[in-house]
Amino acid sequence: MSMTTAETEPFVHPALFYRGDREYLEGTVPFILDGLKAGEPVAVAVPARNLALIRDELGEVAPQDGEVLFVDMEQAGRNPGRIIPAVLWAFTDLHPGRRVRVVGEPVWPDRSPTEYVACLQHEALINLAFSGRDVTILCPYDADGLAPEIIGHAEETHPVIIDGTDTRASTGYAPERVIRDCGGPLSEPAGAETLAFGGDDLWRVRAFAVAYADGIGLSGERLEDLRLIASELAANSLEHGGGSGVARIWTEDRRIVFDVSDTGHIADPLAGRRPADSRQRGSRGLLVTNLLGDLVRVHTERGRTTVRVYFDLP
Amino acid sequence: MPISPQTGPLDPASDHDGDPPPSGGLRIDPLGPPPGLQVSGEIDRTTRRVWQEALSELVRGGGDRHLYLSGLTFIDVRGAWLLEQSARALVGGGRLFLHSAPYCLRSVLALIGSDSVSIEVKTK
Repeated sequence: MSMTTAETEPFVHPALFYRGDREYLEGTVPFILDGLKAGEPVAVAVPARNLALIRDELGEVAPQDGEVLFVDMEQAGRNPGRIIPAVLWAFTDLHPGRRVRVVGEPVWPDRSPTEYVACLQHEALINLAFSGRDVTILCPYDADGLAPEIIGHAEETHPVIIDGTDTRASTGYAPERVIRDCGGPLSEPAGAETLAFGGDDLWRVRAFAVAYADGIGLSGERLEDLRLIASELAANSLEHGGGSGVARIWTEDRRIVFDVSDTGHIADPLAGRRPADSRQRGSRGLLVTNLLGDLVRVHTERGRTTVRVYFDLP
Repeated sequence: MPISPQTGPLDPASDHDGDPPPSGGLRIDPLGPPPGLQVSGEIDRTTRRVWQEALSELVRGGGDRHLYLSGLTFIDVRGAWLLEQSARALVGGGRLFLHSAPYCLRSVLALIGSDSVSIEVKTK
């Protein structure tokens, strides 16, 4: 099965539309075995149920231990914003100078609408993040379980589509437009608590977020994670967002939601998704937010930025 | 030699032994020998300069150094990064021992991918 569309572009990013377990395995397992045969490191990052399917099937042909990295995407990709830095980039960095292949399934039927927008944005950003790199990322989409518009969106974020046994060019590939659309204004919360901050107020922002979340039932390490994110996002406003900002916190569908708005503009669409050793100014706080939050949404335009992070309540 | 911060939102009235710093403040007291610092309060953009200066002073010269951190209630990513850089600056195979490092520091060190062999986290 050849998936290379352009001789000059080493990055290959097909979507696989599958119906049922049999098509899933027929679409993924030969891809994995071809990679192993070619000496390419392989990672499989898919929801737990599908991970078990693939492992069982691969068990029949018994690849050597450690040849395939298995990742539960429901955990590692809980927040779609951390899949690029913590799953994909982390794996490619383990194998410098070698072509790698990944089965990456970030979308599943239980994803909420808010999470789904973040998944769509993530899928579009993959094309920017890995352009020019020796990587193949195959993204399975459950054509039975997902809404038709989600399958339609996959045409916009993948240059190649594999549908059953048919491999073809996408009909609507437009990742830049998807990235732009996904970065639009966020919904306005009802009943948020608000704190305007500036100058030396970082401790006030932390205390504000922690007092609210503690009262709602967030505790232990997750409360500490929120304290760190509140501080990092507010510090970003002080350093890059005009020197002041507004923090808000509220509860929505059993999740605590915290956001910070300021007058800055995040010009780099991959900000917060580059690996930890990056020296990019201003991206460290966003990276930490992506790594620790259960969901992150960003609206940014000239003169106006909001970074919103969700924490699931226990 | 007081390294206690002269800047930041410290209340001068609390500037004597044993008192915790006020909200948002940082208190750093030199200890030793062996050379070390007792750190309590919060390390962020506001208190960063004092933290950076205290670390620079601590790691000057060779040998092991100690940080006693049971009173540390917050450290941001930059503050943890400065700690890691200071550990790397220790010459002659010296190590920086972190005593009673709270979750907030351990988690940030993990997040920034700290793999410094010069840092030793003591669980006791």
